[in-house]
Amino acid sequence: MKEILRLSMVLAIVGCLAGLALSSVYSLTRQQILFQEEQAIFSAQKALFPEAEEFRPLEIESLVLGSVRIDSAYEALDADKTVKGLLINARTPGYGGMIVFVVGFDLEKQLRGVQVTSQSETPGLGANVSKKSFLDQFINKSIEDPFEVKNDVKAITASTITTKAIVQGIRSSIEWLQSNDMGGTS
Amino acid sequence: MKSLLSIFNRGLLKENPVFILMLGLCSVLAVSVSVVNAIGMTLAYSFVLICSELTISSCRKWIPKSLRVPIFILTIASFVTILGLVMKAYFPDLDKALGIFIPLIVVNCIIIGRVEAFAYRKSVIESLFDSLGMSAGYGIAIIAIAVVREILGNGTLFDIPLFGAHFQPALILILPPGAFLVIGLEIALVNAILKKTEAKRGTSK
Repeated sequence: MKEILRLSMVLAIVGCLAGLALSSVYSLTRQQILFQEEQAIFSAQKALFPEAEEFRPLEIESLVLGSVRIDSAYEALDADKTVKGLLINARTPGYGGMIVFVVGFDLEKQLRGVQVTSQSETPGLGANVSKKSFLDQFINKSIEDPFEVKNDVKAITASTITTKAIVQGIRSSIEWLQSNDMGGTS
Repeated sequence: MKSLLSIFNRGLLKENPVFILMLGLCSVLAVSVSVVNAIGMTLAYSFVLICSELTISSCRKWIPKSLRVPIFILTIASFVTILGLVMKAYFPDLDKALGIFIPLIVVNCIIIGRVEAFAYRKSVIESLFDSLGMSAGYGIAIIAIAVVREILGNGTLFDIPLFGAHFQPALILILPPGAFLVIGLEIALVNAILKKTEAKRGTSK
């Protein structure tokens, strides 16, 4: 009995020490982690709208369109607070997990481009989805375009599933945009 | 001093954690797609191994024998969580690249193996040299695999293209089967070298 008490005391002390160490590191890094996450989204948005000063979140509920989930939407505002376009954050199931991306639309119903903020596709193949050489083809595409892989969208070599996934994600974003009548005519 | 150096040297080749002990291979196989990732993984792994060995070794007199395994796991898991938080805060790109393999260091058998077999029985300074040697051995192995896989499988080194556009990389080396091919060939190579040096030692005596 005495031995059990002694052992539980030791384990309790070790557990407390570990908990103390973890909670202090957590509180020390929390601000910085939040900042990094915001920074990652902000730099993706800024890459699509370099002239924008502020990205104002729109009050929408996240919703699912087929396999794609629309997470949030933002208005890009320049220094004079005029709306320059709209950004949609969404995620689409790729080959190795969710591909999280931002797609930007300007006021002329054109794509400002696409930025991938997180993906876990096969390195060397599908992971090229976040490369500039692939994503640049979406710049200035009209939302009326068909977005068909191998037709008006150049596929990633040996990664048809990944390519189809991101294209489906873009199409669903456009669908959401049109159904909400925010095609940029306002 | 000589014995300390021999403790360090053991980890490099003779008891290399990857090529000889063959422990904790999952991170080695998965992360070795690029040299940058391999170096990042080595740093993360070394941090956990060195901190855990030093902590356990310096507290080994107070750790009851029957409680040692839970205490080892608690210690290792705490260091891994600390590492994960710090990486998320200050090295988000590396954290994204290594992904799930950082939390998985907790269950890496080299670390718990070295803590149990070495740090729990030896002095702090010996444990320091053991953990340094084992980390270096892990680093040598994972980087050696990553160099082959990145050059032949992706045509790059440190993400810099090495060959012209006409070069067709052997994609299989970047994919999981390639990891097994490369590690198998390198294990064979290491064994061949060890056999040769042993044979030499035998004849010179």
